[in-house]
Amino acid sequence: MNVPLENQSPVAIESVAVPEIAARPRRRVFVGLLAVLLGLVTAALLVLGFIFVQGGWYAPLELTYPAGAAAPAPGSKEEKLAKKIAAFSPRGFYLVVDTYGNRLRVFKNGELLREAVCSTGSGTVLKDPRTGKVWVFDTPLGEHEVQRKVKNPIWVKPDWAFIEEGYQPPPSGSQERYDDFSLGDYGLYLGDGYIIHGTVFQTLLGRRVTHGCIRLGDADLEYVYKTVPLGSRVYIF
Amino acid sequence: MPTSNMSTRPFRWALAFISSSLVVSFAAFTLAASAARSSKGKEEPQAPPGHRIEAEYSQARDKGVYLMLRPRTRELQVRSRGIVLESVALTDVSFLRYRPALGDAHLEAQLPVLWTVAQDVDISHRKVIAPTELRPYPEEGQEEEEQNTQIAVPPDQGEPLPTPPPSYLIRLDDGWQILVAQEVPARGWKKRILAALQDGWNRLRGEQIETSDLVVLATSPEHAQRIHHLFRAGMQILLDSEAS
Repeated sequence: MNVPLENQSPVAIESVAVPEIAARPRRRVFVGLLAVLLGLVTAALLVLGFIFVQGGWYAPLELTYPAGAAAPAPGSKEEKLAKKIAAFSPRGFYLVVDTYGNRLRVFKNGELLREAVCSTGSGTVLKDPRTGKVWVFDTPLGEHEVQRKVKNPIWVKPDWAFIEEGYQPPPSGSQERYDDFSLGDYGLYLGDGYIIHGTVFQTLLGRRVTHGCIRLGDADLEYVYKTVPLGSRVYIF
Repeated sequence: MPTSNMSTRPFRWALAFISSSLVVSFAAFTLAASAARSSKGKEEPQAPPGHRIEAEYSQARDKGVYLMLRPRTRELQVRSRGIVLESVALTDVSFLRYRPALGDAHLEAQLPVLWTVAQDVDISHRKVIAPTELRPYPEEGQEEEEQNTQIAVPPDQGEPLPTPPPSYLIRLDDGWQILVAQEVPARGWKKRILAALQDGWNRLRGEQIETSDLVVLATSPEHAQRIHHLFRAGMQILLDSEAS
């Protein structure tokens, strides 16, 4: 039944009109917020895009390998060189010292005979306050040779052994420089003052604590001394 | 009706602005990706010529230690006189080149047979003993008074050395660099986008960024620390790409 609008009571008109009027501002706020939000997202994307095009990345390169080049042809120059390289490798006994893992390995013709825990250079740097001279306590890498083997070795203490403890080095040849217990029962001399020797600090074996020498425990030192002949090569890495 | 038009107009403008911005952004990304793709085909480096054995011969004549990188078998060998002293297992060996997100990457790379380490590794972790002055060495009697124990452990003895870092960069002589790390960087498109964003941000901030070609040796932290001391200045690294 249709009732003319002018005949409706004011209360009825109000009850119909109120929801529409309230929805408009809400929609406006929503649209405004959405526009702001999307604008911000777009601005962020544009900024990121700008940053992206300024940058770059590391991409992998595919390698091609020459086919069949692994084995040199018989009689070729490569084969001769391979034979020459093989001739450099040690025969008989040799030692390999791992300065990071602090392990000494005894080999004979490539076969591992014994592995021993050792101590190698600490890498510490010592500075002489008088002269400015610097010592670096590294065990030298590369190939060395057992030049001398000595039973009950005596250590002639170099200057750094005194400076390290804060003392002025005594004159060379003085009694204070001779130490007959620090090197243990045996010493295998590698040249330039580097020695494979024993230690009174057995608990420090397996750690990098020396001044460049290689320390071994008593039993391992005796084995190495008695097994490895003079002239044997020592590879330190 | 006029009320309704007023409420949707800003929305339409925003929509148009957003759409066009997104199109521009998408175009930029597509251009970057296509630039990277197009440059990839041109840049395949040549494998080293078969002079590896000659290079090793010249190394083996010497008494030093040298390294041999074998990408195929994923190992780094420590050698001297032609014998393998140690072999370190790598989880991945990758040769990487920097590619700008837009524009051409630099071209024409050839892998050498031999690299030489051009820098010492960081030795800042080394302990330095620097006495300020030296006392006169005590006489025999004085020494006994000073220290009653027969065997005195010097104060530095027994302190473990700081562990080398598990990830580091080594500069080589011909512009290449070795990155020893646990994984290859920027692998996968997500990581590449992140890497480009980070790189771009650093560039915008004015940072100097090296873009040398990289040899990435991915390995465990233990192995990375174990080989750290070998990368000292002058160390020779042979690339054996023929090894199977």
